Amino acid sequence: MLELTGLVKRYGAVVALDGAGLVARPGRILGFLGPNGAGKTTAMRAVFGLVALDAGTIRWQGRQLDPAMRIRFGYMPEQRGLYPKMRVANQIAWLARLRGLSRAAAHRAARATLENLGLGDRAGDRVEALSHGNQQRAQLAASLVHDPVLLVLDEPFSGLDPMGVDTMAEVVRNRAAGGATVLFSSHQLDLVEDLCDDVAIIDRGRVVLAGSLEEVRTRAPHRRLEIAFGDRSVRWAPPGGTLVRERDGSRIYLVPAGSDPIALLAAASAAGKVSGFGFAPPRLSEVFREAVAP
Amino acid sequence: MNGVRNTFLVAQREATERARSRVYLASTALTLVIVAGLIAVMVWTEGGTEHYRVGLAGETPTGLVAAITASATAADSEVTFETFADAGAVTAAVSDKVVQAGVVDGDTLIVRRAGESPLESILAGAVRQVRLLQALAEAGIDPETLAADLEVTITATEPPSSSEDEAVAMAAVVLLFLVITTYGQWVLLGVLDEKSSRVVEQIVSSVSVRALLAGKVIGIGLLGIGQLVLLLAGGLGAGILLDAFTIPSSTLPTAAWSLVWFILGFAFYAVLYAAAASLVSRSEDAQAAAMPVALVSVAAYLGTFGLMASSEPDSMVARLVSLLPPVAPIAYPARIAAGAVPWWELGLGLAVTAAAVVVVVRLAARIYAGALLSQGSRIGLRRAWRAAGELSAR
Repeated sequence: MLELTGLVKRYGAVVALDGAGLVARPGRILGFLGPNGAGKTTAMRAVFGLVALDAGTIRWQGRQLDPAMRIRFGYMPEQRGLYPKMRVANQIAWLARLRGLSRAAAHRAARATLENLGLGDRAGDRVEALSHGNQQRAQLAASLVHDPVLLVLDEPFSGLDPMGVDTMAEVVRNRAAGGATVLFSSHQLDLVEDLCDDVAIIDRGRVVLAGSLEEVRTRAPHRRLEIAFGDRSVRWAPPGGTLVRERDGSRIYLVPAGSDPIALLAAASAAGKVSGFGFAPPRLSEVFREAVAP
Repeated sequence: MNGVRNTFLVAQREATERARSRVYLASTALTLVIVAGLIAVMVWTEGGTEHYRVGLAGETPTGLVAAITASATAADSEVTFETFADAGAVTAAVSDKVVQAGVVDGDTLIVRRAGESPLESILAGAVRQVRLLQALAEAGIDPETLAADLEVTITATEPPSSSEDEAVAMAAVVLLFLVITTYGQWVLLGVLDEKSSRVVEQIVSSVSVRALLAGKVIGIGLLGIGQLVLLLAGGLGAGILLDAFTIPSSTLPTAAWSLVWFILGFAFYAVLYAAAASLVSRSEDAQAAAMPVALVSVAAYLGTFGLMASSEPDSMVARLVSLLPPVAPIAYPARIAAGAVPWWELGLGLAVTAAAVVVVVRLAARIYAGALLSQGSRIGLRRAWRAAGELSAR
């Protein structure tokens, strides 16, 4: 379990982290969300000692983090890259050795990881000779080769094509299923909703919302009401609702969480023939927009 | 200790990846060829003992052959003689290059072009000497007595400096400057490579910045030492094999001291180059960022060259200047080659430079740590200095 508590980081007058905290649990995937500049990267870098915090603690399995623990973590920085001239397998094995693996174990692990990611036949090539997509796989192999107990991925999906996204999502799921703690940041909220067990939303250096995906959605002060009438001219709006979107005669409102769906459906039916009705917790993207609203 | 293991792993990667690169192999081969070429040229031009053939005609005074042989030996040359029928035959032999010069009747020299060959002054000196002895004998003066009367005592305060020692000194200056600068540039490019390929953040997430910097400098430094040893061994070996020049006695100590000073000089300049490279992200900006370091090294080089070439390589100014840490690694090996450096002075130079290396490593490591993870075209020194807490905190 990874616990960040009360992280504070100032760069001169700029406050990057203002008491941010979160908890990531083993076997679960935590989506770390927030607008640009909210402090996601700074918090992730802090886990790897790349940021000198002004305050706050980082614990792993209840103990203060130290460098010996860190080498068992895997990190994919936002700024990605590998030595362009070095051969793929050698480079991945070298990075594994930096994290404490013996020479032989490192080479075995590099082979196996590359094989796993479909790069087995390119292991002897120089990194610069790989296609963009394959370079990203090699990059992922660099973060995974030592079978990390904690995986921290900074925007892992940015710049990936749909197949790359699938590979990445599968890797993330497998690692979590294998018992690893996974933490990743993303702007692609639908993807996060598909993939994550837990979410933490950070805004201006503070975590404003955190919990399991289910909790976060049900705890929201709104519900998502979707309604369509057979006759498109019917103008009915739920009491206290705000229209979010209208498309193909179907309208989506956010209504107060305490609203009774049965009563709403009855009221709508009284206004006209209802051809479609839905009542559910808001989507993650709606929760997110609300949480970070100015 | 993890730091030591990681430093070793980083150094190993630097050394093996680079040693395998075509650039390194080509540059080593090229430098070896240049060194071998220089030696061949030296052999060819100096050629060790010069050998001359001299034609004699007419009446050759007694003692002339002995006098010529004696002054030739003093000038590190050898002369063989050939006798011709008359002046015309000697002249023809000189123009046909059968002999290099001729002496007719002990008073006329025949050369191809006047004033070009050292042989001319050897012959002229011998001819004058023989005629002077004749004149003295005719005047009834015993040459022995005269020689005793004319004797001058010369007392030297220092052992004689040979031109060979100076050549070794100059070679040491050039070689050290070249190797330190070349490998310093490699460190510059190596750091830049990690920044521009953006692999650096992945690495420092599991390795301390200090281990990364130390490993890089040590790995590239070892390659430099390897090349330096290869060049020294190649140069000395070629010299011995060709047997064309006797190895000046100053060579071996100079070579040994050059290695010691290379380590200090390389450490001094390499970490500065590393710090400079960490300030930029693109190769276009790298040379500009490294300019101050390069200028210091060139100034140290030219300064040392100037001191060595001046008439007073042991003046107080020279001794003080060579104590400066940027200059010392280049200047001391040269001074050792050119003449004895007192032990206390050498010790002081080593101590001052080693202390400066410690200080520079700390300063440069701080800048490196502060600037390493910055992106953007160029980060200021002050910002890097302030940001240094970030990475060195771990």
